[in-house]
Amino acid sequence: MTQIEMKAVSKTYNKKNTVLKGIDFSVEKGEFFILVGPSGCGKSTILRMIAGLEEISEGQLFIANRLANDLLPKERQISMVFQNYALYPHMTVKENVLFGIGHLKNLSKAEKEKRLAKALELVQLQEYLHRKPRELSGGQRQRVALARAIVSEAPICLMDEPLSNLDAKLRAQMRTEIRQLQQRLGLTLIYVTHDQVEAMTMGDRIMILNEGSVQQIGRPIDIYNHPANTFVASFIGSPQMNMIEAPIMDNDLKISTNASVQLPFSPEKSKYLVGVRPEKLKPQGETGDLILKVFINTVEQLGNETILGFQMRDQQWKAKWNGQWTVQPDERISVYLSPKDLYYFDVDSREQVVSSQEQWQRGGVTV
Amino acid sequence: MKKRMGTKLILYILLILAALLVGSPLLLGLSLSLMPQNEILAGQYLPKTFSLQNYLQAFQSTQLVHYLINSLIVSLAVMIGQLLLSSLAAYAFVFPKFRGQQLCFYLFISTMMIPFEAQIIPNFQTIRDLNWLNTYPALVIPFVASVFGTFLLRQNFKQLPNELKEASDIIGLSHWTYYLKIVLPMSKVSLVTLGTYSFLTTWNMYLWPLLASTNDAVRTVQIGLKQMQSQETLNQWGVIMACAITIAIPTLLVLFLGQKHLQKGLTEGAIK
Ligand SMILES: Nc1ncnc2c1ncn2[C@@H]1O[C@H](COP(=O)(O)OP(=O)(O)OP(=O)(O)O)[C@@H](O)[C@H]1O
Ligand SMILES: [Mg+2]
Repeated sequence: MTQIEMKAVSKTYNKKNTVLKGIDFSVEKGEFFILVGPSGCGKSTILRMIAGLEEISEGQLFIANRLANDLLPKERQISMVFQNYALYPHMTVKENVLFGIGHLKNLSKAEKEKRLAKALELVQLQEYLHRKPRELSGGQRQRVALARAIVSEAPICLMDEPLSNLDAKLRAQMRTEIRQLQQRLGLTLIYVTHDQVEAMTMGDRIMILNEGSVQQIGRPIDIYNHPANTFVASFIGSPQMNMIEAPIMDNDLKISTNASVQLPFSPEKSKYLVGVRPEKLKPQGETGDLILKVFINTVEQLGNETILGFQMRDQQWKAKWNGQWTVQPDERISVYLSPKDLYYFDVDSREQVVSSQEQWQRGGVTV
Repeated sequence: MKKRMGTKLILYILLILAALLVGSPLLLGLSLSLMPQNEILAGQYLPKTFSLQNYLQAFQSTQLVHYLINSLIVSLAVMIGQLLLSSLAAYAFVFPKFRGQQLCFYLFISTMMIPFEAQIIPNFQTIRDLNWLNTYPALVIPFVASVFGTFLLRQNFKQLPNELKEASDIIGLSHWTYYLKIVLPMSKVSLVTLGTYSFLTTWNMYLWPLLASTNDAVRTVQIGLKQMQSQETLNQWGVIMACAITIAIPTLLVLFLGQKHLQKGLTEGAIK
């Protein structure tokens, strides 16, 4: 069942500043839906419109198949973690967390205490019950905000970068906890994040936004494998996808002076943007692979992998190799790539160009 | 370093001198109130023999206690009224969003430009026609609505992070609960400031209580003191000074108590 649906929603602040245009998407009941995009692209604004805190300038919002444009926030049965926490400074952690359910008459006192204990255990703040927010660290405050949202067990939960202030270890724990909680309670969760790993690993589906419009919606792995355009291609994946403009010569695409590939589709333009993921630039090749002879200019040793940087005409490219490689800067090496790992993008529309056969295989990619 | 100490020393000496100069009437009053009558008439500045005789007499043979109670009732009533009405009005100017909110506020604030002197006569006529002369309402009601207080609290409420209201909207808190549970506790500093200020101004008010009371029934201390001076105890300066010192004590108390609560940083921890 569709739980949340936006149809052609636009948002204009102060009648002149349009920040979102033509937003269309729907979230299923019990789905973990992730919103990603660069800072200022309108993620918080979408959450706030779903919560009813921001007016919808144009278009329609449906919650549980009911037109919700004019519903009051409290009628939407949601809980929310605010990007800046919004804790009540004069209340203790306990009071803050219970605040969300304190007024519910149909919950017994014991039930409230139970939920409080569970929520605080989940965010690992049991010992801080009687502290005020100003006596907590930034990350602890963020976890109080998280606890306040989950304690209400509202069917829809909106989280605006709820783990942004935590250290890597705690963040990894919280991710699993949130995912488990969401599944156990069957929550419909919309989750805003900047974090690549969160976007890839937590959600059932991702929606990528840029400059107020939807770039692509889909399962994380589909988006990774089939980015709709150059923006998605470079936004998802780290280090980002390498790209370069390549001209067509003798029906082949000329990537560098001595590397050309045959296009898998019949070209309509004289040049295309070609892209390849860093991990697909390999130290050893197979037959049929292209060979790029490059001068390495940066080497990043990450322990389990090595990231090599080199210049491809005016573009800085990166190759990600497993294991530890001792390569000196200025050393000339060969990197290999198979033509099947290449992505082609239209230079003008920046959309990915796919052969009709491939499109058919994917069964109509959602864009 | 040495030079800095020198300038500091000079500064402090100047400050102490200035404080003595400003405080001298009060100090002289205190000194006189502790002297026996004959020493005052001898023109001394400092008492040779300390006596609390003047204070005893002030409490026993004058209406001082009666006046004090009147003042206390009136000042507390005005203070509570101002805190209540100003905070409610300020809430209405900040939290519910409605068309014309700004305009209403500017209209409201523009009444600040009408001077008190211009309001006295119409106010007096109203009070008289209501037959409120010589009653507490006459001294209280004209002052319970305070534009200044509303302005002060509105500025404070506007500084509360917007997300706090939004978080409570999601939960479905009523305006009333939000006002009581969140806004008031978070604005403690401003409320104490306004409370102290309104208590002190009412306590020290002179012109209006003089007009609105024609007998001792609800007369406040400031008028009472003036009466004493011009009536029976004309030559008993010690007693008058004792009264004056006594009525300054509540104001000092309020100031000290108020100051204790005026700590900063009450909103810290609300948002990132
Ligand atoms: N109240 C407002 N009035 C006018 N413009 C606003 C308002 N709130 C947000 N904006 C604008 O809307 C755009 C989107 O803001 P939003 O907060 O949704 O971004 P975001 O994607 O959440 O960014 P971030 O990742 O930095 O939190 C921004 O350009 C911002 O300047
Ligand atoms: Mg945001």
